[in-house]
Amino acid sequence: VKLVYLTRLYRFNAGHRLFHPERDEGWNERVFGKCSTPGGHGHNYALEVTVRGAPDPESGQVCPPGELDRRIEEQVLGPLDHKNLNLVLELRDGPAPTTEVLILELWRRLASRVPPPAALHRLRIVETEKNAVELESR
Amino acid sequence: VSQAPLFLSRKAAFCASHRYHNPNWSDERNRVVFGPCNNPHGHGHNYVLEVTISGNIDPETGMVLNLRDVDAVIQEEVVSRLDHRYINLEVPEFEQVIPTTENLTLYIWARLEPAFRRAGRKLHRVRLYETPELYAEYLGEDTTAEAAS
Repeated sequence: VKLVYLTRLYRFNAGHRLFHPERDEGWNERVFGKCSTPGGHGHNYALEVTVRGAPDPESGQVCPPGELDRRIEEQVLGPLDHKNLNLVLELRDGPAPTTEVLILELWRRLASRVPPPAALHRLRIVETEKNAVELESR
Repeated sequence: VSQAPLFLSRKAAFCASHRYHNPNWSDERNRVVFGPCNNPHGHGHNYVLEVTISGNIDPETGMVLNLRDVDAVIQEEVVSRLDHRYINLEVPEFEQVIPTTENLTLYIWARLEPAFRRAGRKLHRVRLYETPELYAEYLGEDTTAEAAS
C-alpha cells in the first residue's frame, strides 16, 4: 500500500485561562503560574492536520484539500477563532483548556470527519514558539 | 558497538509549475475538483524538499553520510529534473500522472531510494512542501500498512 501523509497548516487566535475552579488560588498559582491570572490571556495557535491514505488514482490526491479546509473551518476555526476557550470548549479531559485538553477535543471532532478515504493520522498544536502538543493515531 | 540508527535530514529547494487536470473528466468536473489548480496554463510553487536518511555513524567521519554526497544525490535525481520545469510537459513520468504533491513524493522516493541504497544508506522519509501550509510525506511501502487498515 502506498500510503502518503498529507499535512495542512491552519491558524486561529483564542483566549483562555488555566484555572481549576475547585482548587484554591494558591494551588492554581503553583500549578498554572501566570497562565492562571484572572483576566485570562490568548495565543496565536497553529494547527497542523495530517491525514494519510493512498492517493486516489483519479485525482492523484489523498483527499480534496478544499473539502478538508471546509471541515476544519466548520469544526475548529469557526467555533474557536477569536473565542474564549474556557467558554466554548467542553472540558472533558481536564479542568481547563490546556493545549493537551484542546488537542483531545479536536481529535474527537475531526477523527470521523476527515474526507474519506483518507484517515486522520496526526494533530499538532503549536501554542507558542516554545510549546507544541502532538497526538498521533496508532 | 550496536547502536540505534540516526536520522539525518537535508533540505533542497526547486521551483516548478504544474497543472491538475484529469483528461478523462469533463472541464466542469476538473474545475469543481481542482479549483484554481486546474487553470489552463498552469501555475508554480517554490517547493522545499526535506530528505531524511537513516544509518549509523561512520566512525571514520563521525557522519551518517557526507552532506556533500547527500546534496549530489538530491541534485542529480530530483532538482536537475524538476527545477524550473513545467512538470506536466517536461517530466516524462507525469505525462499520464497528475503532478499533485502526493504523486511528486512517490516520484521523488522512487528516484532517491535506489540511489541512497547504492550508497549503503536507507532512505527514511521524503517530505515535500508545496507551500509552508501544505506538505506531503512518504515513508515507503508497508511501513504503516497495518495501521491504515
